[in-house]
Order: sequence, then structure tokens, then C-alpha cells
Amino acid sequence: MRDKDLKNAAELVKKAWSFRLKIFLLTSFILALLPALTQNYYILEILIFANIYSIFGASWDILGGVTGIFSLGQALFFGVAAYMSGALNLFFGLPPWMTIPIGGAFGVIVGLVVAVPSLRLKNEYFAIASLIFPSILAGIIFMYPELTGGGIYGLAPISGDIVVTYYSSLLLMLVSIYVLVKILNSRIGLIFRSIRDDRETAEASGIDTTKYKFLAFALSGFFAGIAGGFQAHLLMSVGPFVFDPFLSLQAMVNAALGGMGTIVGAIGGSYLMSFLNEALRSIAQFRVFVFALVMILVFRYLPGGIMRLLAKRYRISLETWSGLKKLRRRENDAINP
Amino acid sequence: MQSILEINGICRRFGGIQAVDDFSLDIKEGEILGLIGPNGAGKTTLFNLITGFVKPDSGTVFFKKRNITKLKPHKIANMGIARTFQQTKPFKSMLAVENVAVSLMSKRAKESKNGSDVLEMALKALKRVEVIPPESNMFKLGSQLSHGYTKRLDIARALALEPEILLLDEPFGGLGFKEMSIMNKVIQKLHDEGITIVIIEHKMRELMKLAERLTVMHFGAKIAEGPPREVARNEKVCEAYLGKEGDNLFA
Amino acid sequence: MIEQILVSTFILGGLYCLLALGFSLIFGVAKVLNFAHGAFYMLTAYFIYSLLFAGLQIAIPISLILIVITSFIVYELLIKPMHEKEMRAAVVTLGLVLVLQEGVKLVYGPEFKSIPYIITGYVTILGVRIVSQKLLAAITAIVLVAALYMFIRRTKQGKAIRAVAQNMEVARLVGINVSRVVMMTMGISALLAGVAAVLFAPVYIVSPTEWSILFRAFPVIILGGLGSLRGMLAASFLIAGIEKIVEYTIGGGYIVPTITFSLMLIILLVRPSGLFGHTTK
Repeated sequence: MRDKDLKNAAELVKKAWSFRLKIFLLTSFILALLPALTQNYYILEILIFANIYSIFGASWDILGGVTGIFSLGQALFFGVAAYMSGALNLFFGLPPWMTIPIGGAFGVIVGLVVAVPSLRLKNEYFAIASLIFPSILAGIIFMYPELTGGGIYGLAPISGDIVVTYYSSLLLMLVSIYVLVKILNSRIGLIFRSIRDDRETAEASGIDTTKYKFLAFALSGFFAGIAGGFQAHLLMSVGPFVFDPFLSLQAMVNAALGGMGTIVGAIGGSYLMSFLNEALRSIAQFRVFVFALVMILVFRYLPGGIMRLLAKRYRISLETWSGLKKLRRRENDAINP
Repeated sequence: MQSILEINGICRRFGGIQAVDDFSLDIKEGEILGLIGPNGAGKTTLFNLITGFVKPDSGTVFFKKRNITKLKPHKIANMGIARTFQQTKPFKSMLAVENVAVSLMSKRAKESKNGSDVLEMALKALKRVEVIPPESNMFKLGSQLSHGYTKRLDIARALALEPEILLLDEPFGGLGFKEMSIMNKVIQKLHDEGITIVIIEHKMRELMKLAERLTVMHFGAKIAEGPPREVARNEKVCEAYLGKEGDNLFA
Repeated sequence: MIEQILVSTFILGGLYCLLALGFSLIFGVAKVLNFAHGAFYMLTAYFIYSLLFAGLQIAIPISLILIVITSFIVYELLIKPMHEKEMRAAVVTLGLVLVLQEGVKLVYGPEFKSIPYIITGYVTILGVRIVSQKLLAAITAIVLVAALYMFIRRTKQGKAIRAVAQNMEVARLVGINVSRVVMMTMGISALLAGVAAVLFAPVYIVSPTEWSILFRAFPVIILGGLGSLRGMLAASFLIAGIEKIVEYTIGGGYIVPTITFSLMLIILLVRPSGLFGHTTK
């Protein structure tokens, strides 16, 4: 009986990995081939945004879904990075491939700064503060355009060619998601999840939860920043709109619709919401209404999102620690020494 | 036997209640010490004070001559003092083996690696508390394990730290007969390995089989201490329990 | 100018107090941040607007009843089932705000509407001439808050509310019907938002985005502490005062909330539990 149980368990882990690998390759393949089918500027642009929002959603997910820290103001990291990328490009002439990572770095800084009050404030207060914070920045920029530049215009584009831009966004998205998934399944991810499930028990297990919360914030800030920097160059402009609270909500809904805590869910969620948005084009006044409905439904009934529904159906695990892979090789070893 | 943990004049107040009142205790290395007292006597609070989850208003805690009074919980855990919780709080969304693996990510566990890998050590810990066999338990989620297994999983998680002191908070809580005897066996084994164990427990019968010494708390203060037989006959102790659990407490 | 600031502070403070109180009540009892509380304010105003044909004497009571019923529905469908998952519930209420805002926009259009005063005419205080409605509103607000304070402190139901707020499990054990208490609190909270709308919406505006007035009150909620009544009273007028001072000296518009929010953040940095602490009533 023992070997059979073990075999089944090891199979579970193995299945998860090969399933995800297959999906990853399939998705990458399809998405990569897309421009061959259509050179339509409009469609490609939608997909580019979907890619940006995938990264943005994943940045929320690593903090909220995986570590359990709900940030209601993800736009803060996004916006600061967008402004920094823009400023570096316009005033210092740095090209996008430099400003975007630096924007990410600024995202890290903001993340670490926000992490401090998250530790000291009670959950409720932090939630409210994080919701409000981006608006404060937007307000300041609004009020003092001389100081902050108000809006920054005339930024360098990612590329003159929409197809190149598309591939850049796709590459950036795939790499970002890959990195985050790797982290999710690593020891760090294991610790993040333990903090989410029960912070006290994690502390009692010798984990410096404060340090790891900071790390989660840094990661979240970085990837949100990357997304922000990319968008700045995509739109070739930055303005207070990058701090829009609605943006924060979008990150959350995209991540949750796909599957909170799965990271990859953010891709599915972003694409789905993009398509939904497009489908509602003719009745644009219903767009926000529908979005809000989705938001309520997802968080009320389906925070595991679509990914988890699929995972349950196919019996795979999306977030287990990769160290368990070693069990595969031990299938034939006796557990008892 | 020398003292491994020294608690001196610990006090802690919550609002209007003095939860722990000038409490002192010397825990001897390698012993099994029972901590008893009526509900609300402050026992779990004492554990919280020792392990850094709650800061004392006054008093000190020394572990092997080092002052650990104001340290954070994870630091104390890394020094070798591990605890379990009265209400089991496993990592619900994680597999049993992952639950234990978390402790193995601590600084202490990393330093005592000596070559074996994390997975092996996690499996070893699960074996020590008899959560495996059956091997299928390894892959059960924290939320899926039965109560008996969850209790022992909590201990496995604490054990993965290779602690010198183990603070068990009501390990027999909610267990059936068979599970209690397994728990008894496990605790005995750990004792034989030399780990100092402090047990908070209400199930006197089980505790008496294990404890070498008892300390009794009432309204946050120590009212008795000594070998079990002696403490059982102590007037103050019987008084404290009277009306709540009755004379057949120590039967 | 000082008189103008004082008078308008008095009025705005009354509104903030009502809103903050309603929000805190629900949080204290259900531990959920009901962001939709502001939306209840907005919705009530629209209920009144829709029922104007029947006259204010009918429109007001019916609107209040409607909003209380709405709050019960929201509670049953969205909040109660999310016990133990309060952060998710808070997000759901955020979604609800948007749904209500957009829904109202779709039905009534985005333009501002107005609803009539309860009492017409003007009155002069401290040499400042204001519409009587404003004075009525502020005074009624304060009276209501005081009445609620009495209710919570002195009556049996009030004690039940406090018990549940302090420890739901223990309250249940002592025989309190927690579910009913929370429902009742939800109703009271909605009523407060509704009454606030009845009093103040005629004076300010009726618009789909007017729920944001709750957000302007967040500094009050945080500074006053989510559990302290006295703190909230003080904070209401403090924040209102700051807002008015800024408005009359530097100017109105976006700068006002930006300053109060910044202030809120700074205070949180220094005193993470708010100015008056985070105790339960």
C-alpha cells in the first residue's frame, strides 16, 4: 500500500510540473505566433496592454494572494515607476530598456517604504491607507505641476513598430511571470505562504516574518514598477492617471479572476478582462458596471479563480514547493530506513 | 540537573486582569515538567511570554544564561525553544510535509543541516511523531488531516527546529484513547532523546504518566510546585480546582 | 472669515461624525470595512429624489426604510457569508460601491441632481448667514450621535452590540443572538447614512460619485480610532476644521483631501493606533 500511495503522491507533483510546462509552452507559442495572423494595430495594442496588466496583476498576487497582504493601492508602485521612467527618459535621455528596470527599482523602494507602516498598522488601517495613498500622490502632482512636471509627454516609444512592441511586451510578461512562479515554488514561496496561512505559527517556526514581508513588498513593487515603466513608454506619456485607484482595483480583479495565489492566474485574468472590456465596446457605459460586478462575484464566490477550478478538475497543485520533486526519484526507495 | 530556562518575577497585565503575577520558575534540563491550573490561570500566557509572543510588564526570562526576555518569537525559536499551540494552527493550504518544511527554512535548521536535505529532514520529523506512516498523510493539506494527526503535526513542526526545549500546550486536547497513547509514546521518545519538555495539560491522568515535576498556576501566580504526588495532596491546589473539576482530579 | 470657518466646520463636522459613526459601528461588530457605507448615503439621496413626486414627508421615511432593507440584503448576501474573510469582504464592498455608482449613473445619468430642503429660509450665526437646513443638519447630527451613545451605553440591545464588538465568540456563548445583533447594527448603520443623506444631501449635492464623502471621512475614522466615540467626535470637527481652514485660505478642490489624507498618514506614522487609540466601545 505504501508504495502505491507514494507513487500517487509523487505523480501529483510530477503532473503539476509537466502540466504547467505544457501550458506555458502552448501559451507562449500561440501568443508568439499571433502577429503572423494579424497585424491589426488595434488588436495588438489590446494584447500589449493585457501583457502589461498580467505583470501588474501578478505583482499584486505575490503580495496579496501568496503572502496574504492585501494591498488596495497597487497603483502607487505602478505610478511612481511610470513617472521615474518617464523622467529618466525625457530629462536624461535614457532609453526604455534602461528606464524600465530602473523604474522597477523605484518600485522596490516604494514597496519597502510602504512595508514599514504595514507592519505597524493594524490590517484595517493599512487597507484604508493603502487605498488612499496613491490618490495623495496624484493630488500633489495635480496641484503642483511646476514642481513635479504635472504630466510628462513626448517619451520615447518602445519601438516604432507595433509588432516589435508586442513581442517586447510578450517577452517581458513571460519572463516576469516565470520568475514569479519560480519564486512561488521556491523556499521563499513556501515561507510567503506560511505567513499567509498563519503568521504566528510561522514565527514560532523560526521564520523572521518581518524580513519576508519586506521581501514580498519589494517583489511586488518591482514588478508593478516594470509594468508602470513599460506603459509609460507605450503611451509615451505619464500623468496623474497612473495613480488611478481604479488601476489598483484592476490589478486585484485580474489576479483574483485568474486565481489568487497562483501568479499565472494573473495572465488569464488580465486577458479575460481585456476581452470582456472589448466585447462591451458598443455599450461602453456598462463597462465599469460589469467590471464591478465581476469584482464582487470573484471575491465573493471565486477567489481561487479559474486556475484553481481547473487545478481541482485536473488534480494538480499550483503552488507546491519544488523541493517535493525529489520525491519522484525516491519512489522506489523505502521510506523507512 | 541544571537549569536550562529561568523565569524570574514575570508579570503581565491585560486591561484589568493580572494574567501572570510575579511568576518564577526554574526549568531543569532534560526534565518533563507539567504546568497545570484551572482555566484562565495564565498558563498559555506564560508560554506566550517565554516565547516572545507577548512582552512582559516586568521580570526576566533567561535561557542558558542568556536574557531572552525582549526577543522576538522567531529569534527565540531559533535559539532552541519551540512551542505548540493550544488550538492547532497548521498551515491550512499547505501539505503536511510543507508544514514541517517551513521550520526547516529557519536559521537554526539551516545551520544544523549536516548534509541531509530538507525533504529528508521533514520526513524524519513526521516519522518521529508518527504522522507517517501512513505515507499518504505527507500529501494531505493542513486542513485535511484529522485532529490527532494535526496535533502531532504541530509537534513535528516544532521538532524540525531541533529544539532543546519543547513547550507543548495541551497536546492531549481533544484526543481519543488510541491517539492519547500514541501521543504519550511520542512524548516519552522525545524525553528519552534528552529534550526538555514543558506540558500544559488538563487531562491529569495522561499528564501524571509523564510529568516528573508539576507546577501549579492560579490567577497568574504559582501556588505549588514539586513531585506530582506531593502537589496532588496540596491543599491550595485542591482548593483552586474545587468546584471546577472536583476531587477525582488526580485519581 | 474666522466666523465662516467656525460655522462651516460645525456643519461639516456633523456630517463626518454621522458617517464615521455608521462606518465604525459595522466594523466594530462585523470586523468588516464596509466601504459601501458611503454608497448608502448616495443611494438614499437618490431614493429621495425618485420619490419626490410624493412629497418629502413620504419620500424621506420610505427612502430610509429602503436603505435599511438594502443594507440587510447586502449583509445577508455579501457580508455574513464571508465571516473570517474580512479582507475579501472589504474588497467586495468596494466592488459594491462601483456597482451602485455605475448603476445610478446608468439609471439617472451622471449629472448632479438636487433634493429640497426640509426647512427653508436662512439663519444667522456668529454673523454668518447660512441656510437653515445646514443648522438643522448639524444639530440633528449631534443629537443623533448623542442619542446613539446613550443607546449603546444604557440599553440592553446596546450592551449586546458592545459585547459582540468585543468578542463575538463569548457573546454567543452568553446567549446573545449574534446574527441578529449584527443585522440590527447593520440597519442602524445604514439608517445613519440615510439620515445623513436626508439632512446633508440637499445642502451639498446628489451625484453618483457622492459616496466619496465617506473617503473624505477616513482621516476622521482613523484619527478618531475605530472604536472610540469621543475620539470620533473630536476628530470629526478637527478634520472638518482643517478642511475649512485650507479651503478658505489656500483654496478648495483637490488640495483639501490631499492635505487631510497626508495628515492622516503622518499621524499614523507617529501613532499607529490613531490619535485616540483602537479600543472597543
